[in-house]
Amino acid sequence: MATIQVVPQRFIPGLGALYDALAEYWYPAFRILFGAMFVPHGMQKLFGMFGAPTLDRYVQSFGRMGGWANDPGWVYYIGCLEFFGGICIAIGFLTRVFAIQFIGFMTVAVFLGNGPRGYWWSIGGWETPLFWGIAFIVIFANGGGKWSVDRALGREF
Amino acid sequence: MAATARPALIIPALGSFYDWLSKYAYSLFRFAMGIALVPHGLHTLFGTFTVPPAKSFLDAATWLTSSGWITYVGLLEVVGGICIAIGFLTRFFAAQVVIFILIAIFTVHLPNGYFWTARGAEWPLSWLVFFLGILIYGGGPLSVDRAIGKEL
Repeated sequence: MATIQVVPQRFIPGLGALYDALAEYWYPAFRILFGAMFVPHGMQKLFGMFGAPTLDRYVQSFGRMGGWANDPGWVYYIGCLEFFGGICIAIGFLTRVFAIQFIGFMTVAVFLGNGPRGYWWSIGGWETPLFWGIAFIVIFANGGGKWSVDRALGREF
Repeated sequence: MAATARPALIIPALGSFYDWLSKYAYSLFRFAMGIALVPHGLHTLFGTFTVPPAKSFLDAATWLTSSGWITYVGLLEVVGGICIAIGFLTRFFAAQVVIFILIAIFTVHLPNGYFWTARGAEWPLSWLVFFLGILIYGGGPLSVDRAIGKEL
């Protein structure tokens, strides 16, 4: 990440070189893993894989957020965002375009989707979308970065 | 990642916003991930909050429950979480959290499969990646480590 390599003195000076070497690779590794993480969720919603609920169950579940969400279109949108957006963030293509949609998705999940279930992630609460949403802010702020299609193209949003 | 290596922006006016955001995004990230540990630590130490009994950390394995590990992990989550949030001895605590999460993944969550909704490995796996980042980057801007000018 761009601005955080001005480091203080070290208690163990030899570690500085190690941190600098790793710092370059953490962001792309994080972007790849974090994007890929959402792909199986998209495969559930789009293709019914991994023991997914039926589309009707998804629509019903989305519908608990309000009448506006009681529509298969939202399930398809979120499924596409998780599947295609997850892949695109992993490869760093249109990274910020998808990251900001994920931020919106996580915000809605915090307040409407998972919020009513309580806080803890272990009961499907709003802890999960809150902290994943903050992680997407890091991706939105940094864009494609190292090992990304955006960087290879030399242009990004 | 030097700013000069950045691709041309399709909307150039956003560049200064991204620069500003990327400076503080890490601080927000570190603060949030540190704070996130605290309620879990309070639960581990005091049982303050109600968590469904199945598959809690306490069930993980008897070697964990029959020793001081619960207290250690609870203190790590509360004290280490607050210290990571304010960026004090950041790497010292982040290294311990990384090890704790690795153990949690293999002993507790992997048997539940992948999906976080089934308390699977997905959630702690994302935390492993987050805290590896904090371990690598340390305090960063807006941290006590930075203010002291010396860190691990």
